[in-house]
Amino acid sequence: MSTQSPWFGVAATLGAYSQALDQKRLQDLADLFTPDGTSEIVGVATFMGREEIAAGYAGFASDRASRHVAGNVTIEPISERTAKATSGLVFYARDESGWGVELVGRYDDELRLDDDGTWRFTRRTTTFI
Amino acid sequence: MREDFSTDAEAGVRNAIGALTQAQDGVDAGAVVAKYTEDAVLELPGSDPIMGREALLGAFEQWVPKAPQLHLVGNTVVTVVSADEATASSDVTFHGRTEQGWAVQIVGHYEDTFRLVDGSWLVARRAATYS
Repeated sequence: MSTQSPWFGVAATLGAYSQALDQKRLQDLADLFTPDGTSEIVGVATFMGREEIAAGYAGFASDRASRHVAGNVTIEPISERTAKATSGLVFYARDESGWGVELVGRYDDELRLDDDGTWRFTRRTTTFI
Repeated sequence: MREDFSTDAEAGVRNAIGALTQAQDGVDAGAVVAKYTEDAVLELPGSDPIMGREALLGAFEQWVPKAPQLHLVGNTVVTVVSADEATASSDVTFHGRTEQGWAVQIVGHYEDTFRLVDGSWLVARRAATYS
């Protein structure tokens, strides 16, 4: 079991998700979810389980350089092994004219601490504004 | 056992920054001001300091978003000064949406002082600078 503060363990998972997504390591991203975890992108799609998540996110992949930058993190412990988190999100992408802001939104997360010390998403809801 | 982050100063301060930032992009000025101490001071470039919750409420009511926006705060460094006081420095980018789409409209920096009041970390002073 992790000896880290829950806050920093959860925050590490939020950061790892953004980095895996931008580096197109989609299996690594899927492994940040519990086996039955759900990723809902509101108004776009809902993926249930790691296989669906990896395959579904592959459908969004492009060759453009991108950064999903999350901040404004709040983390609420629910129990020793469960927590909720919220954060803001800005999606930057680069085209011929340079970097631009493509999307802005928020994440609402539910996470569980696994026996290997990793906090994993049981549910991540992404809402663009 | 449920963990109380008020006993974990750095996590508590980081949570407070996240909650304050999210509130700033909402429509409830009261929710923003509730993140400040009664005697808080907000220093913004080019204007006199705003002192106390009543004055802060008047200011934040004028700043209620009229179009989609997002402050994104990161690079936060927290220094715990004592059991009930901490400082934090952070960078901020402000994103606004216009007819042309989303754009970064402000890039700046916060220097914050937090105090632990009744189990909640509240902003006692925020000094903002813009680049």
